Amino acid sequence: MSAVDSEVQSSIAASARPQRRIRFSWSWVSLPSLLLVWIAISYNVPSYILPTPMEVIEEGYDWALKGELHPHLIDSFTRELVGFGAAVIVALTLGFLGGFFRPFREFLTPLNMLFMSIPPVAWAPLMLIFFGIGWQSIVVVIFISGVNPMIVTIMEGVLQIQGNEVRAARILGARPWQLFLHVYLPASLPYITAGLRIGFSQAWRALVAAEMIGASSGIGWMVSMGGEIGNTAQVMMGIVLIGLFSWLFERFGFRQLEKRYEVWSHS
Amino acid sequence: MSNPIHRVGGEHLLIDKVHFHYDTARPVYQNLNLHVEPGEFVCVIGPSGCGKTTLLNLLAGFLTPGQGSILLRGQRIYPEDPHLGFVFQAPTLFPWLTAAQNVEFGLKMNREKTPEERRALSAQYLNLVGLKGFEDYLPRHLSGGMQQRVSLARTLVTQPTLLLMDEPFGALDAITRETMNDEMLRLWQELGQTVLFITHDIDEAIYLSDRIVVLHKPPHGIYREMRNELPRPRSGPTTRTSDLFWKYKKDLMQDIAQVANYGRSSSRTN
Repeated sequence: MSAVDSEVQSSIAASARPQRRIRFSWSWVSLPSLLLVWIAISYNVPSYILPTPMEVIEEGYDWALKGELHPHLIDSFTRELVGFGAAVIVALTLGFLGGFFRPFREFLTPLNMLFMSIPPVAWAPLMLIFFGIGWQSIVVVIFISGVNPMIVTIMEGVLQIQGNEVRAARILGARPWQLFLHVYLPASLPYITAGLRIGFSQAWRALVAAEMIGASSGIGWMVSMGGEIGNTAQVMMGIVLIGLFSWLFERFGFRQLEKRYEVWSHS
Repeated sequence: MSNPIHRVGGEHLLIDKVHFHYDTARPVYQNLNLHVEPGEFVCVIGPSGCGKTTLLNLLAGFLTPGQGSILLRGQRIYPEDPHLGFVFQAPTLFPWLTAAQNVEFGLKMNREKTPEERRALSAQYLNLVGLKGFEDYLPRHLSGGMQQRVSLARTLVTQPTLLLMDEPFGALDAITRETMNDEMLRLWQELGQTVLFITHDIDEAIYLSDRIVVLHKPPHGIYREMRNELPRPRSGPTTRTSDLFWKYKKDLMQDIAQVANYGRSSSRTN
């Protein structure tokens, strides 16, 4: 088995990865430097124009202490969950159908391009007329903003699957539904995750924007209300929360999902 | 080592008066006939563009002949046929599955075995192709030759009685290819399937086969069939340097040159 041994050695050499060592990255400096700029400016202007980070933290602490923070967060999360969840189901269905059937793909593409070119918030006034102020109109705006980029990415994922993998699976006895479950689905997983990630961030932005226009609760409402009553600390608190949660979802949601196939995709 | 892998045997393959075309004006085959005995190892060679890949796609049922029939044990072939195995030019492993999971794929599809039985079988067949200990490696962590071994194990584990091979070792370096040829013969002698092996490598065809089929340019089908009388068991140094080997090689090179020149203007004659 000497031939195998030499193959093994070359393969081990090829797969040897650089050691996991912590290496300085300039990305560590970027957010702290923004914070420094904020501090530098905020201590030189009146706090009703730009509050200091400490004042924003105090504002948040006040809200939390009075028990007024979490109802808004829960409202925003629920809307995001419902709107994004519905968008995922629809995007998976349409994305796979579009990937499999050319006529359907041809039909879908112009619609996608049209909807992609319209900022989702532009639908908000219309939805407010349809459904009134409340969660329904916001959920619909979230749905519209999330579903299109996901359809496009999932469709691309199905299209990039190589005919050879499908042929190999058929020869090994895979029936159509097994092909879907054991070849199409895993092979397009990297694209599905990328789609979910884009869709989620689009939906999150749309949520905040829609809440600013047509809601009586939520993080977006906190920001716009803060602006109306001239409470800049409340505005900044809302902005920090928006960024913070977006980062948390990315870091502990999609990043974890991605790690599952990182080993085999893009070689 | 007690090896429970048993001989699967081969089945009779009949290609009968097959016509096929992608484009009516340029048929690929007009009257193709080939008869492969159970357990026979047939190599098909020919210059590029002679329809080798089309032939395999017809045999696997990915393409349907316009007229005529292709029968394995008297029945039409379809891609999902459990009696059919196909080893592709590229390993085409599923990159998200480990070597063992790749080998188990076919068993999982027909759902006759329990997960424990599948696991045991994949370990046996990986061992058979010399990859013991690599069960949990992902394809990208294996070399090209090792990937092709996994691909072979993945096909053999389903116990096909007809094995179609599309230049399976064509992308490998010469040394690895010779090793793979020896292993191929060892496996075939152990399992006994009918093999139809397509290659563009004359040496490989002579070394492996019972019979060599030289394809003509489309739409003429078969140019010549040659029975290969080289004694078995074969071994690299002895077989590849024997007089008979060289005679076959010379004959086949002449055949291929004639096929390649066929239909060209006769300004240059050999």
